[in-house]
Amino acid sequence: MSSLNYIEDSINCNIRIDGRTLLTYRSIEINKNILVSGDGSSSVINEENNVICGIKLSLITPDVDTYDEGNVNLQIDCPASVAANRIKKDHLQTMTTIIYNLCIKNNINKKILCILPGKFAWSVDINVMVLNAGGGLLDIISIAIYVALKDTFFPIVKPKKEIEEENTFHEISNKDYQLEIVENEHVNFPYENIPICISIGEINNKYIYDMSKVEEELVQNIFVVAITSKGKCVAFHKLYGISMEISSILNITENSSKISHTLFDKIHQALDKIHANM
Amino acid sequence: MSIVQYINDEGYRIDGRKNDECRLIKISLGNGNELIDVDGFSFFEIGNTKLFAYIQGPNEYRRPDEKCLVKCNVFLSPFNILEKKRKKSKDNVTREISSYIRNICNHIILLDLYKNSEINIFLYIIERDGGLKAAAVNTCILALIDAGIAIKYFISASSVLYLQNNIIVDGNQFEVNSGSPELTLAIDMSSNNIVLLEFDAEVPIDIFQSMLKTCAQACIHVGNIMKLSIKENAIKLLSLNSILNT
Repeated sequence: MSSLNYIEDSINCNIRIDGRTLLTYRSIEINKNILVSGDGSSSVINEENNVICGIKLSLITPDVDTYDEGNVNLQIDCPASVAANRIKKDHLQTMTTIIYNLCIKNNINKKILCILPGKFAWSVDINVMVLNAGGGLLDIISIAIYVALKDTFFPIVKPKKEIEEENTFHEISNKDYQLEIVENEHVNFPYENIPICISIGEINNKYIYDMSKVEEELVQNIFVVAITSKGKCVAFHKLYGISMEISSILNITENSSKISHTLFDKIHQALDKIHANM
Repeated sequence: MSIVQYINDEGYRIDGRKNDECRLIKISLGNGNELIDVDGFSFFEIGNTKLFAYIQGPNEYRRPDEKCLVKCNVFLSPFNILEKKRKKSKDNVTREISSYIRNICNHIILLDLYKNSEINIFLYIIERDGGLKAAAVNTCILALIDAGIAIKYFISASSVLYLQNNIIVDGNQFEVNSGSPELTLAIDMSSNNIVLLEFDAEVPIDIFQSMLKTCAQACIHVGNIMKLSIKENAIKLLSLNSILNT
Protein backbone atom coordinates (compact mmCIF):
# COMPACT_ATOMS: atom_id res chain seq x y z
CA MET A 1 0.00 0.00 0.00
CA SER A 2 2.82 2.37 0.74
CA SER A 3 4.34 1.68 -2.67
CA LEU A 4 1.09 2.75 -4.30
CA ASN A 5 1.14 5.96 -2.30
CA TYR A 6 4.73 6.42 -3.41
CA ILE A 7 3.71 6.14 -7.06
CA GLU A 8 0.79 8.51 -6.61
CA ASP A 9 2.95 11.06 -4.81
CA SER A 10 5.56 10.89 -7.53
CA ILE A 11 2.93 11.44 -10.21
CA ASN A 12 1.65 14.45 -8.27
CA CYS A 13 5.21 15.78 -8.46
CA ASN A 14 5.22 15.29 -12.28
CA ILE A 15 7.68 12.43 -12.28
CA ARG A 16 7.22 8.68 -12.58
CA ILE A 17 8.97 5.72 -11.06
CA ASP A 18 11.09 5.12 -14.16
CA GLY A 19 12.15 8.74 -14.40
CA ARG A 20 9.85 9.89 -17.19
CA THR A 21 7.68 12.96 -17.24
CA LEU A 22 3.95 12.58 -17.59
CA LEU A 23 3.95 13.10 -21.36
CA THR A 24 6.96 11.00 -22.36
CA TYR A 25 6.70 7.78 -24.32
CA ARG A 26 9.11 4.91 -23.94
CA SER A 27 11.31 3.87 -26.83
CA ILE A 28 9.58 1.71 -29.43
CA GLU A 29 11.31 -0.74 -31.73
CA ILE A 30 9.54 -1.12 -35.08
CA ASN A 31 10.22 -3.78 -37.69
CA LYS A 32 8.39 -4.57 -40.88
CA ASN A 33 8.41 -7.33 -43.47
CA ILE A 34 9.05 -9.89 -40.77
CA LEU A 35 6.68 -12.55 -42.15
CA VAL A 36 7.07 -14.14 -45.55
CA SER A 37 3.52 -15.43 -45.79
CA GLY A 38 1.82 -12.13 -45.09
CA ASP A 39 1.16 -9.46 -47.67
CA GLY A 40 2.18 -6.93 -45.06
CA SER A 41 3.60 -7.47 -41.62
CA SER A 42 5.12 -5.60 -38.75
CA SER A 43 6.50 -6.12 -35.29
CA VAL A 44 6.43 -3.50 -32.55
CA ILE A 45 8.28 -3.99 -29.27
CA ASN A 46 8.75 -1.81 -26.25
CA GLU A 47 9.72 -2.62 -22.68
CA GLU A 48 6.53 -4.42 -21.74
CA ASN A 49 4.74 -5.21 -25.00
CA ASN A 50 5.56 -7.37 -27.99
CA VAL A 51 3.09 -7.43 -30.87
CA ILE A 52 3.22 -9.06 -34.31
CA CYS A 53 0.76 -7.97 -36.98
CA GLY A 54 0.19 -9.70 -40.30
CA ILE A 55 -2.03 -8.73 -43.22
CA LYS A 56 -3.47 -11.28 -45.63
CA LEU A 57 -5.29 -10.38 -48.83
CA SER A 58 -7.81 -12.65 -50.49
CA LEU A 59 -10.50 -12.31 -53.12
CA ILE A 60 -14.13 -12.55 -52.11
CA THR A 61 -17.51 -12.05 -53.67
CA PRO A 62 -19.09 -8.97 -52.11
CA ASP A 63 -22.38 -9.04 -50.28
CA VAL A 64 -25.53 -7.85 -51.97
CA ASP A 65 -25.93 -4.76 -49.81
CA THR A 66 -22.26 -3.77 -50.13
CA TYR A 67 -21.71 -4.87 -53.71
CA ASP A 68 -18.98 -2.34 -54.50
CA GLU A 69 -17.01 -2.53 -51.25
CA GLY A 70 -14.29 -4.75 -49.94
CA ASN A 71 -14.01 -6.25 -46.51
CA VAL A 72 -11.65 -5.60 -43.61
CA ASN A 73 -11.45 -8.03 -40.70
CA LEU A 74 -9.51 -7.68 -37.49
CA GLN A 75 -8.55 -10.48 -35.16
CA ILE A 76 -6.36 -10.12 -32.08
CA ASP A 77 -4.87 -13.32 -30.72
CA CYS A 78 -3.64 -13.31 -27.18
CA PRO A 79 -2.21 -16.71 -26.22
CA ALA A 80 -2.84 -18.10 -22.80
CA SER A 81 0.53 -17.28 -21.30
CA VAL A 82 -0.10 -13.59 -21.69
CA ALA A 83 -3.68 -14.01 -20.54
CA ALA A 84 -2.43 -15.66 -17.37
CA ASN A 85 -1.07 -12.28 -16.33
CA ARG A 86 -4.02 -10.02 -16.79
CA ILE A 87 -6.01 -10.22 -20.00
CA LYS A 88 -9.08 -12.41 -20.08
CA LYS A 89 -11.09 -13.34 -23.13
CA ASP A 90 -13.71 -10.70 -22.45
CA HIS A 91 -11.09 -8.01 -22.23
CA LEU A 92 -9.51 -9.32 -25.43
CA GLN A 93 -12.85 -9.12 -27.22
CA THR A 94 -13.35 -5.62 -25.85
CA MET A 95 -9.90 -4.63 -27.06
CA THR A 96 -10.62 -6.01 -30.52
CA THR A 97 -13.84 -4.04 -30.67
CA ILE A 98 -12.13 -0.87 -29.48
CA ILE A 99 -9.31 -1.13 -31.99
CA TYR A 100 -11.75 -1.90 -34.79
CA ASN A 101 -14.05 0.97 -33.93
CA LEU A 102 -11.28 3.49 -33.40
CA CYS A 103 -8.84 2.61 -36.16
CA ILE A 104 -10.49 0.67 -38.93
CA LYS A 105 -14.24 1.05 -39.07
CA ASN A 106 -14.70 4.45 -40.66
CA ASN A 107 -11.17 5.24 -41.78
CA ILE A 108 -10.65 2.92 -44.74
CA ASN A 109 -12.24 3.70 -48.07
CA LYS A 110 -13.60 0.25 -48.79
CA LYS A 111 -14.68 1.16 -52.32
CA ILE A 112 -11.04 1.20 -53.34
CA LEU A 113 -10.91 -2.48 -52.43
CA CYS A 114 -13.47 -3.34 -55.11
CA ILE A 115 -12.23 -4.88 -58.35
CA LEU A 116 -15.52 -5.54 -60.14
CA PRO A 117 -18.82 -4.55 -58.52
CA GLY A 118 -20.81 -7.55 -57.45
CA LYS A 119 -18.14 -10.02 -58.56
CA PHE A 120 -14.70 -9.50 -57.05
CA ALA A 121 -13.40 -7.53 -54.11
CA TRP A 122 -10.45 -7.69 -51.78
CA SER A 123 -10.81 -9.05 -48.29
CA VAL A 124 -8.16 -7.76 -45.91
CA ASP A 125 -7.54 -9.94 -42.87
CA ILE A 126 -5.58 -8.19 -40.12
CA ASN A 127 -4.20 -10.62 -37.57
CA VAL A 128 -2.52 -9.28 -34.48
CA MET A 129 -0.65 -11.66 -32.20
CA VAL A 130 0.20 -10.31 -28.77
CA LEU A 131 3.29 -12.07 -27.49
CA ASN A 132 3.75 -10.02 -24.36
CA ALA A 133 1.30 -7.63 -22.75
CA GLY A 134 1.93 -4.86 -20.28
CA GLY A 135 0.66 -1.33 -19.97
CA GLY A 136 -0.30 0.72 -22.98
CA LEU A 137 -1.10 -2.27 -25.16
CA LEU A 138 -3.65 -0.40 -27.25
CA ASP A 139 -1.01 2.06 -28.44
CA ILE A 140 1.37 -0.69 -29.49
CA ILE A 141 -1.34 -2.64 -31.30
CA SER A 142 -2.49 0.41 -33.23
CA ILE A 143 1.07 1.27 -34.23
CA ALA A 144 1.61 -2.31 -35.41
CA ILE A 145 -1.57 -2.18 -37.50
CA TYR A 146 -0.58 1.18 -38.98
CA VAL A 147 2.91 -0.01 -39.95
CA ALA A 148 1.58 -3.28 -41.38
CA LEU A 149 -1.06 -1.54 -43.48
CA LYS A 150 1.57 0.91 -44.67
CA ASP A 151 3.60 -2.09 -45.79
CA THR A 152 0.70 -3.74 -47.66
CA PHE A 153 0.57 -3.71 -51.46
CA PHE A 154 -2.28 -4.83 -53.68
CA PRO A 155 -1.46 -6.59 -56.93
CA ILE A 156 -3.28 -5.02 -59.84
CA VAL A 157 -6.00 -7.39 -60.95
CA LYS A 158 -7.93 -6.84 -64.16
CA PRO A 159 -11.02 -8.93 -64.86
CA LYS A 160 -11.20 -10.15 -68.41
CA LYS A 161 -14.51 -11.28 -69.81
CA GLU A 162 -14.30 -14.72 -71.30
CA ILE A 163 -17.05 -15.26 -73.85
CA GLU A 164 -18.07 -18.85 -74.21
CA GLU A 165 -19.19 -20.29 -77.47
CA GLU A 166 -22.80 -19.80 -78.28
CA ASN A 167 -25.11 -22.16 -76.52
CA THR A 168 -28.52 -23.32 -77.64
CA PHE A 169 -30.03 -22.60 -74.24
CA HIS A 170 -30.11 -18.84 -74.13
CA GLU A 171 -31.46 -18.61 -70.59
CA ILE A 172 -28.43 -20.26 -69.06
CA SER A 173 -25.70 -17.75 -68.48
CA ASN A 174 -22.30 -19.23 -69.25
CA LYS A 175 -20.42 -16.01 -68.90
CA ASP A 176 -17.37 -16.23 -66.71
CA TYR A 177 -14.58 -13.89 -65.76
CA GLN A 178 -10.92 -14.65 -65.69
CA LEU A 179 -8.65 -12.59 -63.49
CA GLU A 180 -5.38 -11.38 -64.89
CA ILE A 181 -2.63 -10.13 -62.60
CA VAL A 182 -0.45 -7.40 -64.02
CA GLU A 183 3.17 -8.25 -63.33
CA ASN A 184 5.46 -6.01 -61.30
CA GLU A 185 2.80 -3.46 -60.51
CA HIS A 186 0.97 -2.90 -57.26
CA VAL A 187 -1.03 -0.28 -55.45
CA ASN A 188 -0.51 0.92 -51.91
CA PHE A 189 -3.11 0.24 -49.30
CA PRO A 190 -5.00 3.47 -48.47
CA TYR A 191 -3.30 4.00 -45.14
CA GLU A 192 -3.39 7.81 -44.96
CA ASN A 193 -6.43 7.96 -42.71
CA ILE A 194 -5.43 5.12 -40.41
CA PRO A 195 -4.98 6.59 -36.94
CA ILE A 196 -2.91 5.44 -34.03
CA CYS A 197 -4.29 5.22 -30.52
CA ILE A 198 -2.96 7.17 -27.59
CA SER A 199 -4.12 5.98 -24.21
CA ILE A 200 -4.23 8.40 -21.29
CA GLY A 201 -4.63 7.58 -17.64
CA GLU A 202 -5.90 9.91 -14.95
CA ILE A 203 -4.62 9.84 -11.38
CA ASN A 204 -5.77 12.66 -9.09
CA ASN A 205 -6.49 15.02 -12.02
CA LYS A 206 -3.06 14.32 -13.48
CA TYR A 207 -2.95 12.83 -16.98
CA ILE A 208 -0.19 10.39 -17.79
CA TYR A 209 0.69 8.94 -21.19
CA ASP A 210 2.14 5.55 -22.10
CA MET A 211 1.27 3.94 -18.81
CA SER A 212 3.28 1.06 -17.50
CA LYS A 213 1.57 -1.97 -16.07
CA VAL A 214 1.73 -0.76 -12.49
CA GLU A 215 0.38 2.65 -13.42
CA GLU A 216 -2.42 1.13 -15.46
CA GLU A 217 -3.62 -0.70 -12.39
CA LEU A 218 -3.57 2.51 -10.37
CA VAL A 219 -5.35 4.94 -12.66
CA GLN A 220 -8.93 6.03 -12.07
CA ASN A 221 -9.83 6.73 -15.69
CA ILE A 222 -8.47 5.58 -19.05
CA PHE A 223 -9.15 7.48 -22.26
CA VAL A 224 -8.12 6.54 -25.77
CA VAL A 225 -7.70 9.14 -28.51
CA ALA A 226 -7.24 8.09 -32.14
CA ILE A 227 -5.33 10.63 -34.24
CA THR A 228 -4.26 10.36 -37.88
CA SER A 229 -0.93 11.41 -39.32
CA LYS A 230 -2.47 14.69 -40.47
CA GLY A 231 -3.37 15.54 -36.89
CA LYS A 232 -7.09 14.90 -37.07
CA CYS A 233 -8.80 13.34 -34.10
CA VAL A 234 -11.07 10.62 -35.44
CA ALA A 235 -12.20 8.98 -32.20
CA PHE A 236 -12.31 9.63 -28.49
CA HIS A 237 -13.15 6.77 -26.19
CA LYS A 238 -13.45 6.56 -22.43
CA LEU A 239 -12.78 2.98 -21.45
CA TYR A 240 -13.68 2.65 -17.81
CA GLY A 241 -13.37 4.33 -14.46
CA ILE A 242 -15.01 7.10 -12.51
CA SER A 243 -16.55 10.23 -13.92
CA MET A 244 -14.47 12.92 -15.56
CA GLU A 245 -14.62 16.67 -15.98
CA ILE A 246 -15.73 17.99 -19.34
CA SER A 247 -13.14 20.75 -19.29
CA SER A 248 -10.32 18.20 -19.37
CA ILE A 249 -11.26 16.95 -22.84
CA LEU A 250 -9.67 19.93 -24.57
CA ASN A 251 -6.48 19.51 -22.57
CA ILE A 252 -6.33 15.81 -23.38
CA THR A 253 -6.87 16.30 -27.10
CA GLU A 254 -4.28 19.07 -27.36
CA ASN A 255 -1.61 17.05 -25.59
CA SER A 256 -2.53 13.98 -27.61
CA SER A 257 -2.19 15.91 -30.85
CA LYS A 258 1.32 17.00 -29.89
CA ILE A 259 2.30 13.52 -28.80
CA SER A 260 0.90 11.96 -31.96
CA HIS A 261 3.18 14.18 -34.04
CA THR A 262 6.10 12.92 -31.98
CA LEU A 263 4.99 9.33 -32.39
CA PHE A 264 4.49 9.60 -36.15
CA ASP A 265 7.93 11.17 -36.46
CA LYS A 266 9.37 8.24 -34.54
CA ILE A 267 7.54 5.76 -36.76
CA HIS A 268 8.65 7.44 -39.98
CA GLN A 269 12.24 7.67 -38.74
CA ALA A 270 12.23 3.97 -37.95
CA LEU A 271 10.77 3.13 -41.36
CA ASP A 272 13.30 5.38 -43.12
CA LYS A 273 16.06 3.61 -41.25
CA ILE A 274 14.69 0.26 -42.42
CA HIS A 275 14.57 1.54 -45.99
CA ALA A 276 18.14 2.80 -45.69
CA ASN A 277 19.31 -0.59 -44.45
CA MET A 278 17.67 -2.45 -47.34
CA MET B 1 -2.07 -29.95 -65.72
CA SER B 2 1.56 -30.96 -65.87
CA ILE B 3 3.33 -32.89 -63.16
CA VAL B 4 5.51 -30.65 -61.02
CA GLN B 5 9.13 -31.64 -61.26
CA TYR B 6 10.47 -31.17 -57.75
CA ILE B 7 14.05 -32.17 -58.58
CA ASN B 8 15.47 -31.19 -61.93
CA ASP B 9 17.90 -33.19 -64.02
CA GLU B 10 20.95 -31.62 -62.39
CA GLY B 11 19.84 -32.72 -58.94
CA TYR B 12 18.64 -29.37 -57.59
CA ARG B 13 15.35 -28.76 -55.87
CA ILE B 14 12.93 -25.91 -56.50
CA ASP B 15 14.60 -23.69 -53.91
CA GLY B 16 18.08 -24.51 -55.14
CA ARG B 17 19.14 -27.15 -52.63
CA LYS B 18 20.61 -30.57 -53.14
CA ASN B 19 18.86 -33.64 -51.78
CA ASP B 20 20.79 -33.71 -48.52
CA GLU B 21 20.92 -30.01 -47.68
CA CYS B 22 18.98 -28.37 -44.88
CA ARG B 23 17.61 -24.87 -45.01
CA LEU B 24 19.28 -21.95 -43.28
CA ILE B 25 18.97 -22.22 -39.49
CA LYS B 26 18.95 -19.20 -37.19
CA ILE B 27 18.90 -19.73 -33.43
CA SER B 28 18.53 -17.10 -30.74
CA LEU B 29 18.75 -17.98 -27.08
CA GLY B 30 18.18 -16.01 -23.95
CA ASN B 31 15.51 -13.60 -22.86
CA GLY B 32 16.98 -10.36 -24.13
CA ASN B 33 14.22 -8.26 -22.52
CA GLU B 34 11.67 -9.57 -24.95
CA LEU B 35 9.52 -11.41 -22.44
CA ILE B 36 8.95 -10.84 -18.76
CA ASP B 37 9.07 -13.53 -16.07
CA VAL B 38 10.54 -16.14 -18.36
CA ASP B 39 13.16 -18.63 -17.24
CA GLY B 40 14.23 -19.94 -20.62
CA PHE B 41 13.69 -18.61 -24.12
CA SER B 42 14.68 -19.80 -27.56
CA PHE B 43 13.87 -18.66 -31.07
CA PHE B 44 14.35 -21.18 -33.87
CA GLU B 45 14.13 -20.36 -37.56
CA ILE B 46 14.74 -22.91 -40.30
CA GLY B 47 13.98 -21.49 -43.70
CA ASN B 48 10.60 -19.80 -43.41
CA THR B 49 9.48 -21.88 -40.43
CA LYS B 50 9.70 -19.65 -37.37
CA LEU B 51 9.00 -20.76 -33.83
CA PHE B 52 9.88 -19.63 -30.37
CA ALA B 53 9.44 -21.31 -27.03
CA TYR B 54 9.86 -20.30 -23.46
CA ILE B 55 9.89 -22.09 -20.14
CA GLN B 56 8.28 -21.05 -16.90
CA GLY B 57 9.40 -23.06 -13.97
CA PRO B 58 10.14 -25.15 -12.04
CA ASN B 59 7.30 -23.64 -10.01
CA GLU B 60 5.76 -25.00 -6.86
CA TYR B 61 2.91 -27.38 -7.48
CA ARG B 62 1.09 -29.19 -4.70
CA ARG B 63 0.43 -32.79 -5.55
CA PRO B 64 0.23 -35.77 -3.22
CA ASP B 65 2.33 -38.12 -5.35
CA GLU B 66 5.46 -35.92 -5.33
CA LYS B 67 6.05 -35.93 -9.05
CA CYS B 68 7.16 -33.26 -11.43
CA LEU B 69 4.46 -32.18 -13.87
CA VAL B 70 5.44 -31.10 -17.36
CA LYS B 71 2.91 -29.10 -19.36
CA CYS B 72 3.21 -27.98 -22.95
CA ASN B 73 0.99 -25.40 -24.64
CA VAL B 74 1.29 -24.87 -28.37
CA PHE B 75 -0.14 -21.74 -30.00
CA LEU B 76 -0.65 -21.48 -33.70
CA SER B 77 -0.53 -18.06 -35.30
CA PRO B 78 -2.57 -17.36 -38.42
CA PHE B 79 0.51 -16.57 -40.52
CA ASN B 80 0.99 -19.67 -42.63
CA ILE B 81 2.66 -20.30 -45.94
CA LEU B 82 0.42 -21.58 -48.73
CA GLU B 83 -2.62 -21.90 -46.51
CA LYS B 84 -5.77 -20.02 -45.83
CA LYS B 85 -6.43 -18.36 -42.55
CA ARG B 86 -7.35 -20.77 -39.80
CA LYS B 87 -10.33 -20.15 -37.61
CA LYS B 88 -9.25 -22.16 -34.61
CA SER B 89 -6.10 -21.69 -32.62
CA LYS B 90 -6.17 -25.34 -31.54
CA ASP B 91 -6.28 -28.22 -33.96
CA ASN B 92 -4.85 -31.68 -34.39
CA VAL B 93 -1.40 -30.40 -35.26
CA THR B 94 -1.01 -28.47 -32.02
CA ARG B 95 -2.35 -31.32 -29.90
CA GLU B 96 -0.02 -33.76 -31.60
CA ILE B 97 3.02 -31.55 -31.16
CA SER B 98 2.05 -30.89 -27.56
CA SER B 99 1.84 -34.59 -26.76
CA TYR B 100 5.14 -35.28 -28.54
CA ILE B 101 6.96 -32.63 -26.56
CA ARG B 102 5.37 -33.67 -23.29
CA ASN B 103 6.43 -37.28 -23.82
CA ILE B 104 9.95 -36.31 -24.83
CA CYS B 105 10.36 -33.98 -21.86
CA ASN B 106 9.05 -36.55 -19.42
CA HIS B 107 11.82 -38.85 -20.58
CA ILE B 108 14.79 -36.53 -20.87
CA ILE B 109 14.24 -34.24 -17.85
CA LEU B 110 15.64 -35.53 -14.58
CA LEU B 111 12.27 -35.47 -12.87
CA ASP B 112 13.62 -36.69 -9.52
CA LEU B 113 15.35 -33.36 -9.02
CA TYR B 114 12.09 -31.41 -9.33
CA LYS B 115 9.56 -33.07 -7.05
CA ASN B 116 6.36 -31.18 -6.24
CA SER B 117 7.11 -28.89 -9.17
CA GLU B 118 5.56 -27.82 -12.42
CA ILE B 119 7.41 -27.00 -15.64
CA ASN B 120 5.41 -25.06 -18.23
CA ILE B 121 6.54 -24.99 -21.85
CA PHE B 122 4.94 -22.46 -24.18
CA LEU B 123 5.57 -22.91 -27.88
CA TYR B 124 4.53 -20.28 -30.42
CA ILE B 125 4.43 -21.28 -34.06
CA ILE B 126 4.84 -17.95 -35.79
CA GLU B 127 5.16 -19.13 -39.38
CA ARG B 128 4.99 -22.57 -40.94
CA ASP B 129 6.77 -23.76 -44.03
CA GLY B 130 7.22 -27.48 -43.55
CA GLY B 131 9.27 -29.43 -41.05
CA LEU B 132 7.14 -28.18 -38.21
CA LYS B 133 7.34 -31.07 -35.76
CA ALA B 134 11.10 -31.35 -35.95
CA ALA B 135 11.50 -27.61 -35.49
CA ALA B 136 9.14 -27.70 -32.51
CA VAL B 137 11.19 -30.38 -30.79
CA ASN B 138 14.42 -28.48 -31.43
CA THR B 139 12.96 -25.24 -30.11
CA CYS B 140 11.76 -26.78 -26.87
CA ILE B 141 15.07 -28.52 -26.22
CA LEU B 142 16.92 -25.24 -26.66
CA ALA B 143 14.51 -23.49 -24.31
CA LEU B 144 14.97 -26.17 -21.65
CA ILE B 145 18.74 -25.81 -21.88
CA ASP B 146 18.49 -22.03 -21.63
CA ALA B 147 16.29 -22.39 -18.55
CA GLY B 148 18.97 -24.49 -16.86
CA ILE B 149 16.72 -27.51 -16.37
CA ALA B 150 18.67 -30.73 -15.92
CA ILE B 151 18.27 -33.04 -18.89
CA LYS B 152 19.84 -36.42 -19.51
CA TYR B 153 21.07 -36.03 -23.06
CA PHE B 154 20.94 -33.70 -26.02
CA ILE B 155 18.46 -34.52 -28.76
CA SER B 156 17.85 -33.05 -32.19
CA ALA B 157 15.14 -33.63 -34.74
CA SER B 158 14.81 -33.50 -38.50
CA SER B 159 12.58 -34.82 -41.27
CA VAL B 160 13.02 -36.37 -44.69
CA LEU B 161 10.70 -36.93 -47.63
CA TYR B 162 10.64 -39.70 -50.20
CA LEU B 163 9.71 -37.72 -53.27
CA GLN B 164 9.87 -38.90 -56.88
CA ASN B 165 12.31 -41.72 -56.12
CA ASN B 166 14.59 -39.36 -54.19
CA ILE B 167 15.17 -39.04 -50.47
CA ILE B 168 15.28 -35.32 -49.72
CA VAL B 169 16.09 -33.69 -46.42
CA ASP B 170 14.05 -30.98 -44.70
CA GLY B 171 11.24 -30.49 -47.17
CA ASN B 172 9.43 -27.19 -47.31
CA GLN B 173 5.67 -26.81 -47.45
CA PHE B 174 5.53 -27.00 -51.22
CA GLU B 175 7.28 -30.36 -51.15
CA VAL B 176 5.25 -31.58 -48.18
CA ASN B 177 2.03 -30.72 -50.01
CA SER B 178 2.87 -33.25 -52.68
CA GLY B 179 1.65 -35.95 -50.33
CA SER B 180 4.81 -38.01 -50.39
CA PRO B 181 5.95 -40.10 -47.41
CA GLU B 182 7.48 -38.02 -44.64
CA LEU B 183 9.63 -39.33 -41.81
CA THR B 184 10.19 -37.23 -38.70
CA LEU B 185 12.98 -38.39 -36.43
CA ALA B 186 14.50 -37.19 -33.17
CA ILE B 187 17.66 -38.86 -31.93
CA ASP B 188 19.92 -38.71 -28.91
CA MET B 189 23.14 -37.12 -30.10
CA SER B 190 25.46 -39.04 -27.79
CA SER B 191 24.23 -42.61 -28.21
CA ASN B 192 22.27 -42.32 -31.49
CA ASN B 193 19.15 -43.76 -29.89
CA ILE B 194 15.83 -42.86 -31.45
CA VAL B 195 13.68 -40.64 -29.25
CA LEU B 196 10.84 -39.87 -31.66
CA LEU B 197 9.92 -41.54 -34.93
CA GLU B 198 6.86 -40.62 -36.93
CA PHE B 199 6.04 -42.13 -40.30
CA ASP B 200 2.65 -42.52 -41.92
CA ALA B 201 2.98 -44.02 -45.40
CA GLU B 202 3.87 -47.20 -47.26
CA VAL B 203 7.38 -47.67 -48.56
CA PRO B 204 9.53 -50.76 -49.07
CA ILE B 205 11.66 -51.69 -46.12
CA ASP B 206 14.98 -50.94 -47.79
CA ILE B 207 13.84 -47.44 -48.73
CA PHE B 208 12.66 -46.96 -45.16
CA GLN B 209 16.11 -47.92 -43.89
CA SER B 210 17.70 -45.46 -46.31
CA MET B 211 15.34 -42.75 -45.10
CA LEU B 212 16.26 -43.54 -41.51
CA LYS B 213 19.98 -43.24 -42.21
CA THR B 214 19.57 -40.01 -44.15
CA CYS B 215 17.36 -38.52 -41.46
CA ALA B 216 19.81 -39.50 -38.72
CA GLN B 217 22.59 -37.72 -40.58
CA ALA B 218 20.38 -34.66 -40.94
CA CYS B 219 19.64 -34.77 -37.20
CA ILE B 220 23.35 -34.82 -36.44
CA HIS B 221 23.87 -31.86 -38.74
CA VAL B 222 21.08 -29.85 -37.11
CA GLY B 223 22.27 -30.88 -33.65
CA ASN B 224 25.77 -29.62 -34.35
CA ILE B 225 24.35 -26.24 -35.35
CA MET B 226 22.30 -26.18 -32.15
CA LYS B 227 25.31 -27.09 -30.02
CA LEU B 228 27.31 -24.30 -31.64
CA SER B 229 24.69 -21.70 -30.77
CA ILE B 230 24.46 -23.01 -27.19
CA LYS B 231 28.23 -22.69 -26.83
CA GLU B 232 28.15 -19.15 -28.21
CA ASN B 233 25.43 -18.22 -25.76
CA ALA B 234 27.37 -19.76 -22.87
CA ILE B 235 30.53 -17.90 -23.85
CA LYS B 236 28.56 -14.67 -23.95
CA LEU B 237 27.10 -15.28 -20.50
CA LEU B 238 30.49 -16.19 -19.06
CA SER B 239 32.03 -13.04 -20.50
CA LEU B 240 29.25 -11.01 -18.91
CA ASN B 241 29.99 -12.70 -15.59
CA SER B 242 33.69 -11.95 -15.89
CA ILE B 243 32.89 -8.30 -16.67
CA LEU B 244 30.72 -8.11 -13.57
CA ASN B 245 33.35 -9.71 -11.38
CA THR B 246 36.08 -7.23 -12.29
